[in-house]
Amino acid sequence: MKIGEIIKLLNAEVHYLHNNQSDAEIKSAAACDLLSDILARVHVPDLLLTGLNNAQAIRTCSVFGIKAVVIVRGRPIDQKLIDLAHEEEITLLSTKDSLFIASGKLFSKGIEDAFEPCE
Amino acid sequence: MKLNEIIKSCGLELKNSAEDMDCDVTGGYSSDLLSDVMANAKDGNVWITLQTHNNIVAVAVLRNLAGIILVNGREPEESTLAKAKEEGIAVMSTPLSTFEIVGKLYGLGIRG
Amino acid sequence: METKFDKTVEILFELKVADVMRKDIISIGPSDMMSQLKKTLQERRISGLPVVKGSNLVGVISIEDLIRWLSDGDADQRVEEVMSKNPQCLYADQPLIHAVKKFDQFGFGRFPVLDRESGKLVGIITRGVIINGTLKKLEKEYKEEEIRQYRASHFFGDISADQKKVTLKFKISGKDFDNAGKASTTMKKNLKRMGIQPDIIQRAAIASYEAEMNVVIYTNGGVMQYTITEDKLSLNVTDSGPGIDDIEKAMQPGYTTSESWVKELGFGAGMGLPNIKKCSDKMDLQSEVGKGTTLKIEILIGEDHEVK
Ligand SMILES: Nc1ncnc2c1ncn2[C@@H]1O[C@H](COP(=O)(O)OP(=O)(O)O)[C@@H](O)[C@H]1O
Ligand SMILES: [Mg+2]
Repeated sequence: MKIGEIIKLLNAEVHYLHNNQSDAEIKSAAACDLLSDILARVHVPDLLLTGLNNAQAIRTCSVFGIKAVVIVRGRPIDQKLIDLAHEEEITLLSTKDSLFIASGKLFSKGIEDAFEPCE
Repeated sequence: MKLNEIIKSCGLELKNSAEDMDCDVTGGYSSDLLSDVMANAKDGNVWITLQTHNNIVAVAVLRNLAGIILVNGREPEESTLAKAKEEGIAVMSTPLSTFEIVGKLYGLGIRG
Repeated sequence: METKFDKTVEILFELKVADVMRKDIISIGPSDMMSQLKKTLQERRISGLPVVKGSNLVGVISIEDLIRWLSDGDADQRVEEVMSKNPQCLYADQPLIHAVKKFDQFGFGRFPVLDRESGKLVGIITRGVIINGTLKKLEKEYKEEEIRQYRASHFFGDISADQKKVTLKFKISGKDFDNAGKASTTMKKNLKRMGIQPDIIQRAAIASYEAEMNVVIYTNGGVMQYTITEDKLSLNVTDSGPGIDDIEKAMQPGYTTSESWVKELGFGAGMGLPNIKKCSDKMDLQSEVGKGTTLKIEILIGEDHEVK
């Protein structure tokens, strides 16, 4: 699925779109509010869905190699976060959908989770 | 949809039964932040989380949730199970991730 | 939080050897005579030359070689009989930091620069050329005055205090959640510029980030020091308390003492230390309650991260 389609599907606000690439392909996603759990995964998803709207949401993507993040639950996005997304080159979107609804919508369009339980 | 049907369709492992396994699930809520669940989950929702600490039972009781689904193959802590028994809160687990199990529930027609 | 030192290192990663090298190469041929070399070195006031046949590098010859030859009192000889063959070289597309490392490692005054594709000699690099190139770039970003002070106090010695090493230090403030993780993401970018393999960078970044978060969350601050050598990346994280009383317990997956504010921020699930261990090839955690904690990890880089 292309980022542009995800933006439409989630009625998402675009805060930073890396390289203006609305046709960047998203194949997999993870939904999580615990960043350490993401960092302990085996595979890197293309997209992170989270209710966290702090700097760590962006830095976790940067450290782990995730290209884009959707902040759910209509959490406010402040300018500092947008600046950081810019600096770290992470696409930053937000939606009013809950984590449940946003995940459900994306799953129903064929997005998968690259999740593999470790040991 | 009833809790029982959800368990069957999604292949959930039942860790603790609720008093009423035939209750209607009003929707789903997924979050790993307890205060967020306290603030935003709705009565009768099934809660998807990777938190296993016994505080989750208290939150489920306070919010009248239909049950808790633990993801990523996580086992509830002993104290969590004990508390769930005491309070009659359904606890289930799945090897799937949050994204995957939510996707399945959504596919069954469960909404927010 | 960024210091001029960080900036200098960043520039050394950013600039390529080709950006600063001298392209007006003075060279000598392998069948030229030593007496000719003596003349050239004297006239040009330089301390060494590449030996070139066609446009291919076949060796290097230095003023030391010339002195040795003179003191041996031998008859005039061809340069190729005295020169060092198989010289150490740099490639034009390597980041400048590789050049800095190489100077430290070998102690030579100059390195020939080759084009990676054709193997042909395209330039010469010296310490002076590196310093000038870096300062020029740095000067664009800082005021004259600051540069002058900086020029006096820092530079080469700082970046490579020891041989064959690049060391980077970051100060971490306790409870500063906004800036937490900045050292780790900065470091990740630097490792990328150094051309280290992506999977190793990712492991290093994860371990570093979890360690940094622990310092921010549980302590009043500390220092993270990265050391990169040919074969490994080491990270040393020290803080000044409160310390961990049962390290074995702290290492267990799921064990945490984090308060709810930490959990609300997305951390404190007790997975940090176990993940640091998983990501590193070697891990050592020492702590004294009331004094502080020291975490040392090593990640092996392996041979193929840098052209020989
Ligand atoms: N630098 C440190 N100083 C003091 N205590 C620490 C430090 N690092 C870790 N700890 C202790 O070890 C526990 C486990 O750490 P970790 O595995 O990173 O999980 P978490 O941070 O999620 O609790 C922490 O809850 C804390 O009690
Ligand atoms: Mg931690």
